[in-house]
Formats: sequence, C-alpha cells, structure tokens
Amino acid sequence: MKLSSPSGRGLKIVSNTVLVIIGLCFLLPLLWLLVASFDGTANLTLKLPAPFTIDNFTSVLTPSLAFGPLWNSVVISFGCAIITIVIAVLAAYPLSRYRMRINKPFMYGILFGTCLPITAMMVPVYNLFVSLNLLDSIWGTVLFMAATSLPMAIWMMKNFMDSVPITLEEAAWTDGSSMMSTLTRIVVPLMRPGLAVVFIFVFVQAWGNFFIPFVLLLSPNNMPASVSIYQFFGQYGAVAYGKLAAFSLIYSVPVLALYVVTSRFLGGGSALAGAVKG
Amino acid sequence: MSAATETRVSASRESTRLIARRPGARRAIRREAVFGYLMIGLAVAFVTVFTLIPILVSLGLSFFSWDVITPPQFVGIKNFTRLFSDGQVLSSFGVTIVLAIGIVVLQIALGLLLAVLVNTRKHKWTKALFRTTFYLPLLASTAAVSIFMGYLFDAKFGLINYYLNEIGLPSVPWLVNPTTAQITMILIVVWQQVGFTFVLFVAGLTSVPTDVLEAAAIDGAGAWRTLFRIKIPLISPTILFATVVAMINAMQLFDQPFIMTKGGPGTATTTATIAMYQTGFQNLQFGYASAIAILLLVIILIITGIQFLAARKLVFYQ
Repeated sequence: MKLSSPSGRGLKIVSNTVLVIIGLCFLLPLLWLLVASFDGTANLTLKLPAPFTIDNFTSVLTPSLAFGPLWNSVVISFGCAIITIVIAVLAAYPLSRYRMRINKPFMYGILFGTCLPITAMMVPVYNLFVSLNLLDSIWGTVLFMAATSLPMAIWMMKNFMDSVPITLEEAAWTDGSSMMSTLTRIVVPLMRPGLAVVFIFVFVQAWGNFFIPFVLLLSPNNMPASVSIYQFFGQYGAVAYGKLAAFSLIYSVPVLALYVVTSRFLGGGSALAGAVKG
Repeated sequence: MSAATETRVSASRESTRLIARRPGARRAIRREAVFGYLMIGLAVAFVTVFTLIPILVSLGLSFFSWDVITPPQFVGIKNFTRLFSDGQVLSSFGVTIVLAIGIVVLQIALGLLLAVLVNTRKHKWTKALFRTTFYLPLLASTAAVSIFMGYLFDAKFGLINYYLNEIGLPSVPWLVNPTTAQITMILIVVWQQVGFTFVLFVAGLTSVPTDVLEAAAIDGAGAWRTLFRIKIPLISPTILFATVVAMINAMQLFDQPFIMTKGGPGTATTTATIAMYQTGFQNLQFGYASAIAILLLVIILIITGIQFLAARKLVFYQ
C-alpha cells in the first residue's frame, strides 16, 4: 500500500497505533508467562519477579512431571513427522511427475481427506485400538496421528515437488537412473526446504495435539506433555502460577527452536507457500 | 493446478518418450508405473485403515446401541431420532456453529488486517518482530494456552480483571456468564490461531506481482482502492483456503472449552465434540456418540461445500 497520498500521514498514524495495540495484546500474556516463571511468589499481576528465582524450573524439572512427558512428546511428534514425511514423499513423487489417470481424483480425495473431522473418527478408532490391543500404546497413537496428518502433508509435498525443476531428473533418466534413485538422490535433496516445512508443520501439530493422546493413551507413563500439563495444572486446581509458567516455557522450547531454525533459512512467510499454491 | 504444473507434466511426457527409444524401455516404463502406483498405494492404505474405515465404522455404529460391555444392538435410526429431540445435543451444535462463525470471521478479518498492516512496514526488522509476535501463540500448545488463559481471565482473581479494576473499570464476568464466556472463548481461540491465517496472508500479499501494483499506481489508484480492488482479489484463493481450514478446525473445537470451562457455564460452551466425548467416553453410549460424530461430519461437509460454491463467484484465479 502506498502511503504517500495526502491522507497518508493520518493513515500511517492510525495503522501504527492499531498494530502496536494488537501487538501488545499478543505480547503481554506471554510476558506474564516469562516473568511469572522466574518469580518465587508469582501471582496474577504483571510485575518484576520479587524474589528472582529459578526454583520454579528446578521444581518442575523432575522425571515424573517434565522429563517423562516431554520425552513422550518428542517420541510421538518425531515418529509422527518422520512416518508422514516418508509416505508423503513417496506418494507425492508419482503425483507430481507422472500423468496418471488417478492423479486428479486422488488430489480431490486428498482435499476431501483434509476436510474430515478427526473427532468424528475418535469413537471407532478408540474401539479399533481396543480390539487391536493398541490402546495406551504410544506407537499406535503415532500411527494414527501420522495417518491424520498425511492428506495435508501430501498436498503440500506435491506442490513443493512441482516447483523443483525437472531438467536435472531428465538428465538422470537418460543416464539410466531408476525412479527410486532419482527420487532419493536428486529430488529429495533439491526440496530440502519443502521437506523442512512439512516436517515442522506435522511436528508442531503433533506436539500440541491434546485430544488424540487424551483419548488413546491411558497410563500417566505414556502421556505426552500436552495431556500431563492438563492433568497436573488443569484438573487438580493446583494454583501454582510460577510452576505452570515454567513448565509451559520448557514445553515450548523445542517448538520455538524449530521455528527459529527454519525461519532463518526459509524466511518465515514463504514457509507455508506450498500449502496455497495450486 | 497452475499453468506451470501443466508444462512440467508435458515436459515429463516428452522425456518419457525420449527414454522409450531405448530397447527394452517399454517394459521399464511399465515397471515404473506399477512402482508409482505402489508408492501412492502405501499412503492410500495408511489413510484408509486409520481414517476412512473408522469413519465408515462410525457410520455403521450410529445405527447401533452399544455400551462396550454387551454386544452392539441394532436400533435403526433411533439414535438419530433421539438426537433430533435431544435438547442438549442440539444446543451443542448451536454452540459449535455460533463459536465457529465468530472464530472464523474474526480470525480471517484480523489476520487480513494484520497482514496488510505488517506488509506496509518498510523495515525488515519491524516486519520480523510483528511476524514473530503474532506467530508465537500458535507455537504454544493449546492445552498450555488454555490453562494459563483460564487463569488470566478468571473473574475473581484473574490478571485482566485486576488491571481493569486498577484503571477504574468494573470486573467483567469473562468465563462466568454464558454470553461473555462464548465471546471470551472466541477471543482466546483467535488469539492463539490468528498467526496461521496471518502468515498465509503475508505470503499471499508478498507474492502479488509488482507490475500490477505499479500499473494501479500509475492509473492513480489510492491505497484503499489498491487494497480492495487489486490485492484482496489477487489473494482470494489464499483467503478461501484459510477460511475453509479455519472453519473445519473451529467446528471441531474441543481443547479450549474442555480445559477452561468444561463446557460451562451451563452448556454455553459445550461444543458438539465435547458432547460427543461425554456421550461416548464418559456415559459409554458409543452408538449415540457415533451418531453425533456423523452429524458433525455431515454439517462440516455441507459448510465446506457451501464455501467452495460461494468461492466460484467470489474467488479470482489468475
């Protein structure tokens, strides 16, 4: 938007004010979280930590409260993202490179798949897991979560793959390279940014997912952090602001780190471009 | 698909023809085709086992009465007739639709406003700062956000009412009064999720071709006109995508109301998913819960269909 018209200055002031006010609404709750986590007597006011302390962190960082659930979260999110990526790459390659009769109906099927509400499957999935003896199994949960994230992942992956130039592959084909080795040696290395985007997308979704593990996992030992934080802070009415804040921060670190790393080499906004192309 | 994809596909056909001149290449091509189907088949099998079959089972179960302990009993459409006379379940669908519309409208409008405002920033670091600010809540887990937002919005001891009182305003019954509870729920969900639409819109706005914008500027179009006549039409496919995704997610709202209010006060924030959860996993009426799930599925499909139909008139593809 060009802001050089006569009314430009006024417009600029208004837009700045709006942006700053909304920005504060977003930052202040997070600031409270940060401040409260270092406060020994944290309460619901935004103030500098009176006794500055890391007690909240040390008391939260115990095997049963933090390490166990966080490890479960890592296993679930990582497993889910890896399985999704491998299957999505395999499916996206023929969809992107070969003109097959099933391409179009398949892509519509994928779109339809992304529309299906996961909640509508939870009752039969629960019963399926009971009959397959997969209830309370982390790997069963990982498989199910991977399946639910697949349609979106294939959609994004195909669009990323479409933007990888085909010339190099043609060279490989004429040199007698097979489809599989063309895929693993040429296409996959070329679309690393796209792979990273899909990986992060699936990982972050799995990391924050509450409903699926809440239904499919039972024992506290298997719970990811998203459920254990609810069971510890949400259910028992333990009003321990400092500890909640500390736990939330620790819990968010892996995802934040992923975001920082990817936005470095992907430039933030373009990260989701693969989802909207087409 | 875009035109670029089409050329690429034809290029790949070109090259297949090139290979076909080699002796024995025809067999190789057939083998590769089979391989290609297998690669797709893996994904299809996976999705079928874990999502399509459960949905079909769900459809089947909705005609049975089942408490897990005794074998399922066929009851015909009794679950559905009960559903349409069950005030509580019907109200949960009403709540879901009200919340979903509120969430989607606010999320799209705010996401677009923020994207347009941030996109006009000239400095790279202010752009990055705002982008991170609006994106951060999305990275936090819904469960964590719900718990601490529940604390912040607590009517008696919450941070927000405390500061409202400090500046001389009366306390607001955020999550205590049915109407304000719904509004608060919408605000909190949008607070957390607007980053997604925001990032999509920023990406869309950045990819608006500059020659079009220059042409508009030369023709004397002002800021508003450029925005409404050029930028928004050009990113309308992105807006459609964001709306559809946001709507599907909002219709399944569970985490925030379940954690913050347990569906209360009364049933003001009991969404269809919460009703389904309570019916199935707490009252062990799995058949009836399946019927609720199927109704939700049908409503979501109808709403998505309506959005795509409306898009035919409203969305502009280059």
